[in-house]
Amino acid sequence: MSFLESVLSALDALRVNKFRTALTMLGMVIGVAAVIILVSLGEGTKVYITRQFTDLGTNLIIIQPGRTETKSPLGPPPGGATRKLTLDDTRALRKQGTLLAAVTPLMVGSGTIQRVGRQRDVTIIGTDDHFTTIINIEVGSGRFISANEAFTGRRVCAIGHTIREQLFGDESPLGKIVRIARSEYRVVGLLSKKGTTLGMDMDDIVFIPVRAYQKLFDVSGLFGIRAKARSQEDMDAAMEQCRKILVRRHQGNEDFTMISQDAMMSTMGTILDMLTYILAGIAAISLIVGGIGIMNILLVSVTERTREVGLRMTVGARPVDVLKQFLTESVLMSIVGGIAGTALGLGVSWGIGLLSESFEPIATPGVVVLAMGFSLGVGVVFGVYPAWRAAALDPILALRRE
Amino acid sequence: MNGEGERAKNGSGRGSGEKPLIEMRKVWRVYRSAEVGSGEADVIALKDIDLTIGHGELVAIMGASGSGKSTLLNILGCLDRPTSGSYLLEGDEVASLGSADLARIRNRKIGFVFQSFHLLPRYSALDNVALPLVYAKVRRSERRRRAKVELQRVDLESRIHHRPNQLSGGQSQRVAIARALVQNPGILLADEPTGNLDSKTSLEILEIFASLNRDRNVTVIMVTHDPIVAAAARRLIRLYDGAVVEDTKTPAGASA
Repeated sequence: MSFLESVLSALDALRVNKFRTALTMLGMVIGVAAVIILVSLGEGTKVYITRQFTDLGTNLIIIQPGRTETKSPLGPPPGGATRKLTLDDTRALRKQGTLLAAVTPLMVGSGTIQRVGRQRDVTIIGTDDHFTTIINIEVGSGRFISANEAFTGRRVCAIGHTIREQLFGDESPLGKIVRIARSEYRVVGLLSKKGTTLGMDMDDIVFIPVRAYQKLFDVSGLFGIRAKARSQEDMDAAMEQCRKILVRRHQGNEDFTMISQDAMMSTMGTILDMLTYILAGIAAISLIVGGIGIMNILLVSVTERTREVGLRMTVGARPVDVLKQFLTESVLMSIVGGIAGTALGLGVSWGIGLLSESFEPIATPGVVVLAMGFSLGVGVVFGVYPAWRAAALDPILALRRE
Repeated sequence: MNGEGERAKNGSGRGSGEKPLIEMRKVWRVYRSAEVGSGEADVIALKDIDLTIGHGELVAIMGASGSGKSTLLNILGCLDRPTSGSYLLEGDEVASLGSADLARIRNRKIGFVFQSFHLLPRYSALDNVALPLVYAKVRRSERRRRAKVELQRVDLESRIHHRPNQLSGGQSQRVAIARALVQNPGILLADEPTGNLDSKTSLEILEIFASLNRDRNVTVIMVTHDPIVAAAARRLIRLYDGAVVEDTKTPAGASA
């Protein structure tokens, strides 16, 4: 019997009990759809988070004071007193860091911003003019902090969109005076609406010159330094350059930690991949349950068709022919179920994408192939036992069965 | 007709070969208690059977229930194997063949007709008749052509697309005969072929057997309770308690 004929014959057999066949396939449909939906949600999340990272800016190098020493279980090496990162470090990087496009100091804290009776608790960032080169924020009106202001500590500020709404309403904030902590600042810039990135409301931040921040909170060191490499290709070299410059300035101690944006993203990606696989694994359990359903129905079918099997054997079907016949039915159910499940899974993923503005599940061809392959495998694995039972029938006894 | 040419090809010396068609020597069939599944003693179904059947014979096997006639038919039809002894079919030993080889022999050399017809209910008469050809790996168009020819021979060309439940008992048995003959086998085994039919239809079926035997030189072996069926044969083999107790020419045989 040719392959096509086997398939047609199996279709014929499955058509006899349409409802039963459909219910059996439903198990596969749900299993495959669940795998596809969950994996595409995972992929979508990964892309979403990656976009959040890149929204912040690209080729970003994060430098923080202090060293997380994972190599030695005895703690930091002796004699290496931790130094703070300073504005001088920032200047040195900017001067000597030929592979860097920009370097900016960063201070982060929180405080109150006030204006005639209205007040709001906000995030305060102290930085300089390079900040807008490194981090993707746009000045909507006015200007950002200038280089000169950053180092003189002149009391000016740029405010986020939400702060403007809360303190000024529709009024233009430019040139107005606000009180940040204990001091008065003149608003010189209003930032464009940005939204939330990585859980931080970018519109609820007030930016002040870094020196002003240090004076305001009476601190000397920096929270950290942010730098941007000239290009993606220069990333590793740029990081190495930063490291050398800072180590030299810190008397040979590497008492700071550098993380590239790529490293953060790949760590994040690994975690998300793991979560996705766990979810897919859970969904795959339902595929196995679907396979057990197929096996169950096939066993019933073998019992019902014992006489047919006996007759076929009598007129010349070898055991292997009978085996093939039932295996074909099993694989057919699992494949048709798999195709329907793929359609359902893709449909639901697409639907979720329609409902959400910023988030879109991504069904890769890989997951579709994987789910289909798995359903085929389930059909074979769970079809073998019933098919073997049929093939092992004794034609004499099978013919006599009522 | 194409059927003639095919028979000349595969029926080498049918009816005139030096070797007998069927030759059984010292055939025993014992159902071991383990095989039967009861805790009882072994059951001897056939005892030391010696039996030779030549090409073109028309044989009836009779005997009471439990006499071993069904077991004998199963072994003759290569559905079962002797526990011991030798069974030569067209000169080839088949007593020790595996189930795949036996399936091939059943497919090519033996046609079966049963009391309860055993037609597949989902299939049309044509597809039922063509079923053995499926396992002979014959192309679909050729299968249909040959099945149609076989149905014409039993006067059912008007019923080829009917399902078994749309056929009378006599028609069903004629479909079954067409199925048994579609591979042009040398042997037709019939197990109570008229058991489910009225007497008029029974005679029609017996007439088909007789004409097959006469015109196509098919060796017909019928197992039956029915003396009328037995009378239609030319040789009568009677079993009792697993042994052949009578092997005679019938009046029909004697007059032939």
